[in-house]
Amino acid sequence: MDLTYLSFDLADKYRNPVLILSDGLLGQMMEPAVLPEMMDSKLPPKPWALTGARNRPPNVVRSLYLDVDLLEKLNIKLADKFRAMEQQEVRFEEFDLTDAVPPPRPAGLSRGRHAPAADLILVAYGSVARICRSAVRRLRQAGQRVGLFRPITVWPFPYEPLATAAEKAKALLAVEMSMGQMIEDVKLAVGRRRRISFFGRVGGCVMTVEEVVQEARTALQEVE
Amino acid sequence: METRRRIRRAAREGHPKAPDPRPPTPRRRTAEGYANPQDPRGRQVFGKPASLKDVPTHFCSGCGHGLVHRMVAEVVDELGIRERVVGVSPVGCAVLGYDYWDFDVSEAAHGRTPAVATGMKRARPDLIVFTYQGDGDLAAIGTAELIHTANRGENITIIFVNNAVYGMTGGQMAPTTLEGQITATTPTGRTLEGCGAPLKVPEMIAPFPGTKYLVRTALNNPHNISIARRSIKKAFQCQIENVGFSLVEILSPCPTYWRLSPLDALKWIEEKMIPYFPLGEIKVPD
Ligand SMILES: Cc1ncc(C[n+]2csc(CCOP(=O)(O)OP(=O)(O)O)c2C)c(N)n1
Ligand code: SF4
Ligand SMILES: [Mg+2]
Repeated sequence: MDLTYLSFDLADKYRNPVLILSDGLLGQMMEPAVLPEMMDSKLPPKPWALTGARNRPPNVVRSLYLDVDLLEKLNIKLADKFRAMEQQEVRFEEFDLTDAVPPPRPAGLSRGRHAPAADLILVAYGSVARICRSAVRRLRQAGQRVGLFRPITVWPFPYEPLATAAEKAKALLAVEMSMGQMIEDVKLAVGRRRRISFFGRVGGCVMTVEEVVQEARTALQEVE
Repeated sequence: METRRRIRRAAREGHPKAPDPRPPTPRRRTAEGYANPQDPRGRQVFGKPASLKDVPTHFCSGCGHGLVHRMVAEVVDELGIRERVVGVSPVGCAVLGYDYWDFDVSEAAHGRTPAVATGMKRARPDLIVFTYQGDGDLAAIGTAELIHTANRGENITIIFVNNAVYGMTGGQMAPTTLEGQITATTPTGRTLEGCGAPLKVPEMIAPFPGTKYLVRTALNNPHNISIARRSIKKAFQCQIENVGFSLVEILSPCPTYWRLSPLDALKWIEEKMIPYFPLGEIKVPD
């Protein structure tokens, strides 16, 4: 929900469509939600808007430039904008990935920053990320060093952060409700230095926590 | 030569019948018209509308688009709405409308023109919003947008230039191509079987309660041109007075892809197009 708010503001800021990747689970709203208050966003001024050519030269909203020099200029301007988004709008979340020295704490789950470094990193976004988080909890309880990397923006994809996270891991497992789309970005981020495997369900089938746990165990065995 | 010299001398000496030797006063472009009341020689009755830029045209010779651009600019001037009009240009030969009109214009994806206009008008009801669309843009790829915009009764104006072909892409068949008409994609002529009958757009949307002013005009002679111009004005007035959706279809020559001379293209409108696409007001506000 917060991301939906954010996506409208980002679309306005960059004058670029923001796609909210939904799925069947989100679409059917399986849990109650409280909508936050309408926010007053600080949005950039719009001197380009078509408001009537009063006391200014006419504004034109266009993407067609038949003059190649003008079109190249536009392409460069757009590329600059995309670079800016790549620099400023990458969002992701890490779960049970790090190996910060755990402070003394009561017995129980070791979680978040207090987990030993993950040998296996699950990579998943959206609803699948939630399922993976449950799987990670279960695996951690069983003493297995597994964490989750969740891209919040799939474009711009968090290549650098994922590459950094992968440095301490032995393998990665991309879990997707697809035949494998994000896995290409995972490979781009990590290269051939780590074993990367894939687990996907399609056609509206949703993987269970057990299935992910099982896939994760297999992936771990392969690198041990 | 000799005659001209004599006339000039006569003018210098104040001969009553001599032409005015002063250099012509520069044309004054005003939003109200072209009159220059300061000019003692009288009113200037013709000039470039203020809403039209002084640039060379890219249209083929004999093309109707330039004329329609001009008529829209004249009407915008006459109604004094240059500072609150917004045009939406189509994909087609007229996409460069903003190179000619001296007011705010947006492009739209092919056929999505009325949807863009709807958004603008709803966001800013004080603006006067019009789309300018060819028959491919409006009656082929944009049929869904046209029908629903008309049916919703959006208070916008559509200028629909029907030249019976896709001009920009090389003269392919359009939904408005006449039976038997040879185009790039109907080399032996359009047949009703397989292609259906040419679409009569205003008649198609006339039953919708949302449509208020629908008219078909043509550019084949000065009389019809002046009717077209009046119709465009009426359509804009319809919007200004919040009456609702208006559409002006204009049968317009495309000599290039009709493979006719500009003159023969006008004849073709009269002899072939008008019998199938009858001219006149199809729906007027109550
Ligand atoms: C989505 C999309 N489909 C197809 C085209 C190719 N295209 C450009 S103009 C055009 C047809 C234009 O015909 P019309 O609207 O009759 O305009 P005219 O040039 O005749 O005035 C087409 C099909 C395009 N630009 N975009
Ligand atoms: S191709 Fe036809 S519609 Fe296009 S500019 Fe030439 S005459 Fe006009
Ligand atoms: Mg056409």
